[in-house]
Amino acid sequence: MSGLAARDDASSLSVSGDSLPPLSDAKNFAVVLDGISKSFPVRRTWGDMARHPMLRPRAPVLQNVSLAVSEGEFFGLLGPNGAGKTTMFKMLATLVLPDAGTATVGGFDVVGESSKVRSVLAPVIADERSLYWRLTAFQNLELFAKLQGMRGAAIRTRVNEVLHVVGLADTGEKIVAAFSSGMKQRLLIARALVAQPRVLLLDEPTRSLDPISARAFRTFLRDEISGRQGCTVLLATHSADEVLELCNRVAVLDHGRLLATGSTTSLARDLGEERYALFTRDANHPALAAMVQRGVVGTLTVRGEEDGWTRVDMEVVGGMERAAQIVATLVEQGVVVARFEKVPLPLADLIDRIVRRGAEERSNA
Amino acid sequence: MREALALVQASWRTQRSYRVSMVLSILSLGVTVLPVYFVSKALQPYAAESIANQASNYFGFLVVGFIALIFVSTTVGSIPDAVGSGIGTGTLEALLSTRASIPSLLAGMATASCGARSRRYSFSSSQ
Repeated sequence: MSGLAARDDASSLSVSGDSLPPLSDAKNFAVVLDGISKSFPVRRTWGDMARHPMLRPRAPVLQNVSLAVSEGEFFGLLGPNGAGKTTMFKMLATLVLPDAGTATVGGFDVVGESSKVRSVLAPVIADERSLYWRLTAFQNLELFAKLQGMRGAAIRTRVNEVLHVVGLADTGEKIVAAFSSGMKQRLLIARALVAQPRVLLLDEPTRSLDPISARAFRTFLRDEISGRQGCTVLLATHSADEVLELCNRVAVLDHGRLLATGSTTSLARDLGEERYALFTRDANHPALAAMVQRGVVGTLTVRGEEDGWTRVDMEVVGGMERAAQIVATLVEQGVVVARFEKVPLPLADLIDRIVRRGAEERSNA
Repeated sequence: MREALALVQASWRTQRSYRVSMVLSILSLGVTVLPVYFVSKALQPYAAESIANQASNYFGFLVVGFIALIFVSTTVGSIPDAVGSGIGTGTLEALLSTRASIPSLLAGMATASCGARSRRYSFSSSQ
């Protein structure tokens, strides 16, 4: 929790999606997206095409997305499947062109200066099948070093350096087919690092790793990639652990719309709800039900017992002042309270609420 | 050009790593050529007249025909084959994310695919 608090301070320096910096300042940010939209043609049946031959339906994947990521920041991209995270990454990697809006990476426009963008950015979007499995790790990296324009002895030096960085120095001569999933993930990162990028795009990098390998991989990302290499990292993930452990800020996407940006704690605060845990022997005390009825607290959830005390989670709107009033009222009415403490809102709940709020706004609109 | 060569080298290394398959494909060339040689020799008296305007030796005529057939089919299919497999495995995206130009990537992928396809073709034609 303390780590989160520390990151919260950093987030106050960063820019939310609502207050985008002027594009003249784009060079001060690693990544800037300004009103980016993208849609893809909808696949139709033969019957549908025969009935409506002139119709060209398109499905929006990104809708007017604007955000800015500072140099050296670890930025999380969250949202349900199909939210548009991978399309956004592909757009930044110059693999997909935007229909509208502008995007810059390191100050270079992704449409007009795509080759310059590719020189400062490296995506890790593809999965491990995109490696050459019958080649050794060294040969894989050697190939990409050549494709990145490196020549002569510099290739060997850089490849060995990168293998060392990702902890594969001892297995450089082993063919990739013999690698574990974790090693392949590291090799994918190594492949991206060969050209010394300033910005790294990671799309669910720990999806095929067991919990222990995933934790080790997160440590590697934080200490080596973000820390020593100083890369700006954009991370699309479904993992709460990854977000809480790594990200300075997050953005929540749903149906191609940017719903929120900020640190997880500031997002929870913006939602106007904070969760508290009450440890009591009187979980069914009428005072609690009365508070819900009066709207003083949100939903009450009985979480089970700890040492004979029942834990009741409640959502409190109004911050610490309101929390203090609630404790005072409960004690006054004879509820036995052993502990009353703030608990972080689970990330899944937070995303779910933001997405639901976005859906409500869409339906109202 | 260097980028294209790098892709060809990677493909050659990949092909070479399938050692049994590599040896079999080389052996299969001989296995294919031998019966063609004897059959063409047997048919030489009958075929000589009909190919008189193109060649005097029926075996040479057949070999050139086979090579042309393999060359055309692998050339025509190499780019779609390379792009299709690149899309399927995700290699294409990885390659397109590098600084290499698209023409040099396509040239390298197509040449590499040509090599792989002709090896596969020579192996399958002997079966």
